[in-house]
Amino acid sequence: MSILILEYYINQSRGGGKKIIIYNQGHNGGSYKNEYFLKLKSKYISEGYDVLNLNMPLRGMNFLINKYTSLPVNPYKNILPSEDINYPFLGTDNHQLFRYFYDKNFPNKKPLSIFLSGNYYLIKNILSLNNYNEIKIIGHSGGGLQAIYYMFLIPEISKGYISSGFFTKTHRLDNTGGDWEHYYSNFIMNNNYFDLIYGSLIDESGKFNRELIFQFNNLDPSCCGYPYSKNFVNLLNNLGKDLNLNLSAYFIEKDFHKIHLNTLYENF
Amino acid sequence: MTKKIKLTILFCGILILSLGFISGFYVHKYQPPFYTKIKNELIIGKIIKNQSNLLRSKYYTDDVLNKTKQNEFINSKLFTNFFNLVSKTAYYNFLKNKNSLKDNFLKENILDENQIFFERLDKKKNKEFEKLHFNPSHQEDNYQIFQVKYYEHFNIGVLHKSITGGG
Repeated sequence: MSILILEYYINQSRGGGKKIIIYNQGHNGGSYKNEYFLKLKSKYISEGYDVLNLNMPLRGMNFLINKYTSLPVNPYKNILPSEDINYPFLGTDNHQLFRYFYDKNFPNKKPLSIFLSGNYYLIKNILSLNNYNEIKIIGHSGGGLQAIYYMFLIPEISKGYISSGFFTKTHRLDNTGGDWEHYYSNFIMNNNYFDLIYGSLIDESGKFNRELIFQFNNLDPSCCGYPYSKNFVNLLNNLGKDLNLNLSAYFIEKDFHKIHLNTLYENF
Repeated sequence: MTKKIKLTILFCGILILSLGFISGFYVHKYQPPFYTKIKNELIIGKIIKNQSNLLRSKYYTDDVLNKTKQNEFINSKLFTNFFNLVSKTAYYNFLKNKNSLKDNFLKENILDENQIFFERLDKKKNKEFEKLHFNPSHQEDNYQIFQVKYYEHFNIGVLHKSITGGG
């Protein structure tokens, strides 16, 4: 801990000019096996950015360290709110694992808090250690949904690029791909995804000063595929114009489920 | 068969095998664009086609498909109007609730700070991590690894530092 404090003061004394890209990979696991991640990491590092690499819970670099996971659960919290049981889960990469999370000491905390808190606190703590003055976020696939949650919650993030990972509920009426967190979290069941978009665009003073960019690919066989994606891109672009928001979306032809680097570099 | 012909066949065979081995190695290791393109066309293209074939199985007769016409439907005025109504209603509701929305979200969907433990991994753990996760074809020099723990659940973050001292 003392090393961290020392680094903090060294960084403080160096002054401003520090910038960071936060990157959240999706369900396909570790970032380091993806060429597009390695390329964008090298590019942004050479341009003076730090790159914080994050994976989804239980996926990629979070898989092996969670071979054994233990969480308080209670599927019967409605009738037994003062009970929970610490359940030892055998390693899995399935996010449904979180669905019965319930801690009797923190009864207001929902299962989504297990899904989101890890990367949220990694981001918050690392930002506070380094005093960055330019903070952007990129999320791919399921990591795109996570990225938009973090942009919504952390107003210091000024710009987000969400690749093949986000639809509003209007485009999730049919089976358009996605995991537990896309369909069944308490927040999603009771709220609408538009709040996440609008909340990600306002700054600390409540003004619409932040920017969101979405990217989809026409040959995406997993989540957010064609024809829904093309339609969503058109509707989002119109919405951005109608409400005068920094909101734009791109539809990439002849590309699969990955970040389209040219579009990223040109617009982000 | 003369000895010369036998030798020529043997030489050609070895040459073809060697070329196959070399190209196979590079195709597998680096997957050049032409290989990726062909592979995607053959494999992923096939998956998409299979999905549409699934929809055209004997239970999905033409009249059912004609009734659904999803592509036409989501591009219709009816669906567009529905999207516009929802997105704009959500916008005006958001303007009214924007201050409480985030606070309530944090209370319910993010653990309290005293429920989590944040630390930086030491050099020994960094080395173990490096072997397990970094791409062997990419040298990673300047990085720090951090971990957040809550209950018996862990999340890792790797901070790759800029050479110019951006952070």
